[in-house]
Amino acid sequence: MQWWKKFPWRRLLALVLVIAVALVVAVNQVRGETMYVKVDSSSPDAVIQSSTDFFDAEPLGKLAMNDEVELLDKKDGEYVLIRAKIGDKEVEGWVKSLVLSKEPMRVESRVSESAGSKNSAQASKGLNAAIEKEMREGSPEMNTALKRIDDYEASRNKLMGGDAKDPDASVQNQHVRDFATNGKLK
Amino acid sequence: MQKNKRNVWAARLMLATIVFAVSGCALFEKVKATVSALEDSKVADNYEPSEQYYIGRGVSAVIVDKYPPVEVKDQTSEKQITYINEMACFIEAASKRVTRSAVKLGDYTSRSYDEQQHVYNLVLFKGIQVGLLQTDDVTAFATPGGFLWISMGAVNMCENEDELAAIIAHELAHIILDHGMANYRTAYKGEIFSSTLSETWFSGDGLGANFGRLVTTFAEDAFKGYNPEQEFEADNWGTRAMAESGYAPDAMVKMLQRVEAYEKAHDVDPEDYLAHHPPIGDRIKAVQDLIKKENLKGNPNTMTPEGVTARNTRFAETFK
Ligand SMILES: [Zn+2]
Repeated sequence: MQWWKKFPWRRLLALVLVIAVALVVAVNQVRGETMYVKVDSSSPDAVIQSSTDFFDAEPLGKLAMNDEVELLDKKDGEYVLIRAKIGDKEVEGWVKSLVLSKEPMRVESRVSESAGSKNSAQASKGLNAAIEKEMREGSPEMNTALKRIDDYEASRNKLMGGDAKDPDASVQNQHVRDFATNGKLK
Repeated sequence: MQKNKRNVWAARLMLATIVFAVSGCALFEKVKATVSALEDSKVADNYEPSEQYYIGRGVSAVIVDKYPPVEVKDQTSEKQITYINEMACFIEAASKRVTRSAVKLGDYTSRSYDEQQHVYNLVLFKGIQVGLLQTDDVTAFATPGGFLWISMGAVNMCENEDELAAIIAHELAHIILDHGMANYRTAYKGEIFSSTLSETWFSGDGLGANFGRLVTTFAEDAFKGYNPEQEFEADNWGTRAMAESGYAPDAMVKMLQRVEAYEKAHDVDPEDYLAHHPPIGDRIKAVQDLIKKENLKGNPNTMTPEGVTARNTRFAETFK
């Protein structure tokens, strides 16, 4: 009798199946739910923190709107543990659950098909830089007024985040920690 | 379920009609009413953080058109803008644990369950941004999306850092508890209204013009102020935030007493002002009651003589 006739093929098959199922389960447990970031990279809440205490935490990386993050199975109050790709490295740290969404944010205009309707839900959904630009082009008064806001935001960003256009939220958070320390508020 | 929801919205439409009729907004001419506007206005609860930010920019533009801002042009203004932004971001960061529940914010609040849920989900796209206004009037504005505007008159009214923190904490509350958007939803039900100002600035039916009408009307509402419940709610949240961030909670009382004195000295037009603000004496009493009831003494580690001196010195160096 040849050996392959004695070989327990059924048992091997069962073993392979069990291993496959175990692997699938294990992989699913390791990979958490994918979530998307709701806020701009200049938001203090866009910084991935080493701990859930704002005043003691170290910045580990900076997220931007619609960045994908992986939700890990750990919570601490309003914070959740996440894994995200920052540059070419993977970072694990804490962010507020509030800044994450199950769906990506829609940045494109959602209103083009309803032009002319005077309904704020339509005029406002998909509010973005493009609609603001259109508003400015149609009104010299609003354009002048918004230039003041541009100037204000640029100087404020420079003072708090080190750059007029792309302020660094980690730098801003350090300002805030120093403010607390110097005022003996901590 | 679906029908139930419709009934709720029908009730809200009736309520909005009553509010509109009672408030007699003769100033505003309704551009166009559509049934679908009401349906779509449900969506107004779901502004994304970035959209609130763009509304805030537009509303802020109307504010600085009326009250020119302090421009950053020298060391003094740099110091002032940095200081006030650091303070507001600090209070915001430190007060994360302060409740956003209307139930816990005192007897004066009237937020609905839906509005409460909405507040819990509110997140700011770029965080808090504070600007100073040149005017000597005592005034302050908070917009959706995290913009906060404080007049130099209001800053100069304060005797020390803790009192300025009280103004910031109160205004921050209007943003965090989403009072501006709540008012817009109630008053206009998601429709766009035009006013004299918006018709001077915008013409035509384009999206840009409609967005302009929206932010202009919003800003004009902000000039009128919040309703009494919202003022009590903001005082309540602000006082808790003061305690949480290490400032003296009773600085809120002192700040309100200064506003009271200012109102008396400047003969603030009651019709214009008191229609939207509860008597300041009632607000002072509500804060005093809260401090007593919740035993909000302030943090002994931060209320040391050295702490008080450090804060008052830097406040004086920045603004006096
Ligand atoms: Zn207020």
